[in-house]
Amino acid sequence: MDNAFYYWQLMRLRSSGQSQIQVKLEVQTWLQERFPTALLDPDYPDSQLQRQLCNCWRNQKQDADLAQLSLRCFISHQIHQSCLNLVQRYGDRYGLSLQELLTVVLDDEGRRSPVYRPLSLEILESYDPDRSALSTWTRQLTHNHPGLNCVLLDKGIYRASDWAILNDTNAEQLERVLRNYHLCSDHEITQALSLLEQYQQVYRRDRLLQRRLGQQGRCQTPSEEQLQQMNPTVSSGVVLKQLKHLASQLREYRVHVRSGNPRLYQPRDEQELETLVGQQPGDWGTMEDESERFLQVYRQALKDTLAGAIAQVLKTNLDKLRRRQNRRDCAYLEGLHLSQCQGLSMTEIAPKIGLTSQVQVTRLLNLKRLRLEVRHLLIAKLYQRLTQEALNYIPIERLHAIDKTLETLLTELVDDMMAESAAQTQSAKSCQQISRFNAALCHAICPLRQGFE
Amino acid sequence: MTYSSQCQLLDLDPDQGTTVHLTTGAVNWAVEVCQEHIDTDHQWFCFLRAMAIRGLQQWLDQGAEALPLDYSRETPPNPGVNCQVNGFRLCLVVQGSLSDGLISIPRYTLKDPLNFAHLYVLAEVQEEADQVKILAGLRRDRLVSLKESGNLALSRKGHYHVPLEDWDLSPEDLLLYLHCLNPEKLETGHSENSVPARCLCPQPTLNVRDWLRDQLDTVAQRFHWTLLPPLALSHQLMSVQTPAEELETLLRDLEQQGMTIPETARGAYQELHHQGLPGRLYALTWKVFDSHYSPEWSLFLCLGPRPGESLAPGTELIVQDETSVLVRQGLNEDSGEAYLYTQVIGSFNEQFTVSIISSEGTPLTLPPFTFHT
Repeated sequence: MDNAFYYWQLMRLRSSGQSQIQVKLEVQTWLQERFPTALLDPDYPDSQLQRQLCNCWRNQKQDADLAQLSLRCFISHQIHQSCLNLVQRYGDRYGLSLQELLTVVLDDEGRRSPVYRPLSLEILESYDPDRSALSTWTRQLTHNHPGLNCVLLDKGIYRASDWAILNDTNAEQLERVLRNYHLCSDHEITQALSLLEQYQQVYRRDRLLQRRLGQQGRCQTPSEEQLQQMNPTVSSGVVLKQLKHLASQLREYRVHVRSGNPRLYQPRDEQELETLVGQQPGDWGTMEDESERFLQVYRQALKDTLAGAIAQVLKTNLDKLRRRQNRRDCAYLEGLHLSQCQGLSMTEIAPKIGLTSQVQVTRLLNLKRLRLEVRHLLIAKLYQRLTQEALNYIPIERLHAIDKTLETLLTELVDDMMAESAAQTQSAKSCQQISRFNAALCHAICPLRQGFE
Repeated sequence: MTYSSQCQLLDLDPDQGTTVHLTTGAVNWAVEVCQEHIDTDHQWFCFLRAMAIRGLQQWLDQGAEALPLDYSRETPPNPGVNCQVNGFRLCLVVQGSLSDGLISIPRYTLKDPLNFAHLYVLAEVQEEADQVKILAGLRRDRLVSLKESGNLALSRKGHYHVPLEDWDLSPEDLLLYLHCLNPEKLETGHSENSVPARCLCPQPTLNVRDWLRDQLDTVAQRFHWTLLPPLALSHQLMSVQTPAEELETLLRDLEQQGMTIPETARGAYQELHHQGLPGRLYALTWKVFDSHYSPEWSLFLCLGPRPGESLAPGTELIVQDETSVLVRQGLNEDSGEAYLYTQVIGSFNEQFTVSIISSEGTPLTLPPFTFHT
């Protein structure tokens, strides 16, 4: 077994908040005496050792507490790894630190008889070796942890609770998912449908009542009383277990659908728009129907209209932000300047304008939308001018083609326009080439900033 | 990163440019406007739809160019055409936290000559977080052509089920249309009545009786089945086995465990990579002569790895008849088995549907096996 030390080294939190490995010597010695082959054989499966340890603990054999602690050690590594994965994926953009996640879920102090019930024990007690691997089960429950989900939501990362999934699934959907995806039998489907109905009658009703009273936030686990109302004939523990199982089946389907539709559920990071300064010219391949002569006409027309369109969009955005309760117009303008004229990254900008994470800056500046609004304004202005036709008559395909052409033209690098303004903006990038859009944007921002000062 | 941690990341919804945080006022309105529904299902989805409407409104308002959303403040939003922008009639559809792969659209939104929808907008409502995310859109003309090509199923309740992957407009495309397009450009395609909707049309089936006549039918060919020679259980064991030899070796093992397959049986196999899954599937069929009842046929299935590979634990083989699951077998990590096999017997008018689920959870259902004379 390659990672045998997982079974006697506990990953725990120090009071300083740093994670630390604590070697449990008594567990190590015991394992070496009791399961020498498991530790020495490199091919010995984890699942087998886990099953043996589980048996030893559940049957209350001698040293049951050591077996339990050993499994808790293993679980602590999996919890740590789960949090690490989250931070690797979202840490930078959403300002997520490993420490704040671990504080919520890594709460096992490693006592042989713990004075409270740490998450690792909770995971172990609900674990069924016949249904999944312990590592998978641990990661699943870690991700399901309400406290962890609250921290994530605070940072802008939402994960639907089991109860939300059950609320939002109707009978037709449930039947389809169970029949076609989980290949359940008619009997299983009938039972699930009646369970869902019982749940929804009570839970949705209560949820809407709470919402009416102004309560908000994540759905809580159904109370004892609610579970009784759902099915008075069965113990509430059983109903809860059935509901969790149903929710996990629906969640499995949900993840399956999401992985099959990356366009909707795994959109590319908006990073590319955060660093528009000095980017490469756009894709000319998409513009086959635009002859060079036609592009010349566009470029000339852009010279006359781009500045006006940008000024118009900026003014509206600033007016809106000024009217808001927490006035952000100044931060918006400064953020735009730092990002578009100075070429700073969103992470660098955040502290300079009173925000804490990259994603907050991205939201405030919303460069993608800004650019899109400018383009759409330009389409209306340019189309009439170039074709002597009203925009009303534009066919859909033509509309898309013009939008693409404009995007490419806005991305084109220019160097003449900025020469003069370089001194004014003291732009770090002023000596380099800059995209047509950025150049025009910086020209527009400069006088506005002076107005603020 | 392991598959399971990938899955867990997919379960998360990070805040994006298309995510809208609803104001308290918006949520309060949504709760109140759905109160008149008594039925819990209608009430709940009405609530979500009302949240979606306010989410769409806030999203449109984020832009510099005004796009005022017109909807009824007093009446609960219905599942059909429920709001308007710039002359576009919109059907705003809710995706709840299930993330369903099929989206239900009321038929009249396509058919009604006076009140059809120009655009369909799909919004994911995250009720717990008071958030709405604009996911995608669908144009009327595209929906009409989907329908005309027979690719839309009509449900019992008179709804079209549109697969998620057909929602091909990005939120940016939606804004482009609302800003710059004349809605009349989307009013083509009134031919809704000319082509009947496909109501879950029957699947092609594969007739294994042809195998006994040394033939493969067109469905079998289309699905990459290869016919095996008649069984000969006396082949020498060789290091490189043909599929026929592999099967025969396996049958010899099974015979020792008491399972007999008559010499009259004929089989075929297919490499599942044609369908995007690992492994190789054998099927053997024969007529059951010793039946005391009506004549019966038997289907033996064996799912194994391709040469030099092994099937991952978690792989499942499932056989269903028209009403229920007959067999569901999974490859267990601890068992050490390399193959999954099973046998089913049915009368001549029965058919069997075989599904395979890969260890990663990808399901594959093959055209049903039949035994017709």
